[in-house]
Amino acid sequence: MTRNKLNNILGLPGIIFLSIFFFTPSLFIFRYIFGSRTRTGKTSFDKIYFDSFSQLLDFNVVPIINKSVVTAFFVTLICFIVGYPFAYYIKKLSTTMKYFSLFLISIPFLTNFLSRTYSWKILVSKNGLITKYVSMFYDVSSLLFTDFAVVLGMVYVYLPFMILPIFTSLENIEDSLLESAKDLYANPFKAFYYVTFKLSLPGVIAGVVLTFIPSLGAYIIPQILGGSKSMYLGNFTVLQFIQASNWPLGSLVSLIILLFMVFAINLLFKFEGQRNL
Amino acid sequence: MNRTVFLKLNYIFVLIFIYLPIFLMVGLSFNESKYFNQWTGFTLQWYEQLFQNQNILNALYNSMIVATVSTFLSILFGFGIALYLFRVKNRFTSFVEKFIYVPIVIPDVTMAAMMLVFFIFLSNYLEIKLGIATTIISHTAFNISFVTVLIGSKLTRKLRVLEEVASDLYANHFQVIKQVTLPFVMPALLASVILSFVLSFDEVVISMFVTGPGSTTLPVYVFSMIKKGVTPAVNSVSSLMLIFSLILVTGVLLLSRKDNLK
Repeated sequence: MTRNKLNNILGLPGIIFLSIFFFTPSLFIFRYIFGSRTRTGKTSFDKIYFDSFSQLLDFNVVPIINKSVVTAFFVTLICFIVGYPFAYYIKKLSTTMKYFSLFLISIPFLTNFLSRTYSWKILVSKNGLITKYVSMFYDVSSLLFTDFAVVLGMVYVYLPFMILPIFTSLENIEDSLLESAKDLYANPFKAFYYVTFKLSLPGVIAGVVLTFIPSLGAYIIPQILGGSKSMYLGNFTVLQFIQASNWPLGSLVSLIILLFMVFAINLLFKFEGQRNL
Repeated sequence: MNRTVFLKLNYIFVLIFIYLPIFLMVGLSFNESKYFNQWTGFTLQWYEQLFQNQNILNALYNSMIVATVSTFLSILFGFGIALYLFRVKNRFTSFVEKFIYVPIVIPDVTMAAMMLVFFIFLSNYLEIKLGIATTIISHTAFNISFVTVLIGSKLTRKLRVLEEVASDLYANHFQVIKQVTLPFVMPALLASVILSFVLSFDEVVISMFVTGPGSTTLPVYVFSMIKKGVTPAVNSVSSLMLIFSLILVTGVLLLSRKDNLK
């Protein structure tokens, strides 16, 4: 009995902390959405307002959502096209090389995000390496503050998020399955598609979700590489809070980002659930 | 054998793609020239200037305090929750088990927004000012989950058996924790100390929302420098931050690898 009580007490401080400082703040977002920005920039709560919803149209938020979704889509697509062959290749390497490659990919996964985005900025600036290369084909002096720079910057930062889950699911496929496919006269392409690719789908879906979500809500990358004029969901939200003092609209847009995330994660679970059946 | 060639090229390309910008940035931080397209010689002057810049030193000091305190708190709370989830199974714990992932996956902009509105709303009623304390609280709020998940993944059936054996041998609750549980989870505990320190030390968006004037953290300060342009000062401070987190993260990866081999 005392042991049970002790066990319960162990988790209590953390759970209380999260209820006060994580769960409660998330409820405040909902209250703010139904507030209204007053002239002084403060938010008024004297009744339920729907200003933030009408401002979604007034401030042209819909094109911003569109742009963010399209950007996130291309980032995810490029990460998949480059990341899948990469994961496939390291699966076949010798054990030492495999773990060394994984190590090399995992390091940027966790190291300073800001510095890495900045290092990318150097390449796309005026006279940067990438700019020099691209200017051989197109007439550009600087790629900085273009959507191209933003997409490449996101691919640069989020690529490991795609590679690691794909590698994990590829690693779990037993070689005997591929051999039996060959024994049954499947050509290499068919064997790859029906065995390897289909069995690696959970990893692909996880990678897609893990790349799509942060690309959609990204703030730092568009801010550094896209400049202050290019608007994505993340910057738009921060702008509402820091400069425009329109907290109801900012709260609503940050909730929209969250809803996209919930939708994507649900998709992931649904897919995994189907596979387990 | 076209396919193998393609795969190999792609592999090399990805590694260059990931590491070239980093090496370039670190290299440029030693460049004597102010302009990044010409190399005029090796120098340490940008690093020296960095350590004379009072703003950067203050920001570094704030970051250190925030990262240290929030790491301490998140280990305390997160380890407790992990043990609780491991030992108690009921409806509430299975809810907590799922909910604990929310702070990990929530977009940083959304979390920043909700922390800000929460603190400002409270400041109408309580003596609260945005500053170091609010930053520590916000960082702890997302770090707890990382600690719980990381340690939780090491709380396995094997540990349960060991704990049962210990209590069958009349060890009391604290003896079990001290002599069985703690040594068992030590590598994961160390890894989560490093991880939460790094996560807090590198965090930008949430800090930007909840720090007040004078309590700016290093990444927030560097972010404002980066927005102004590519300068030697940014090269050197970014390189330092990157190398710092690189060393710590390598430590985490080695720790978890050692743990897996065990």
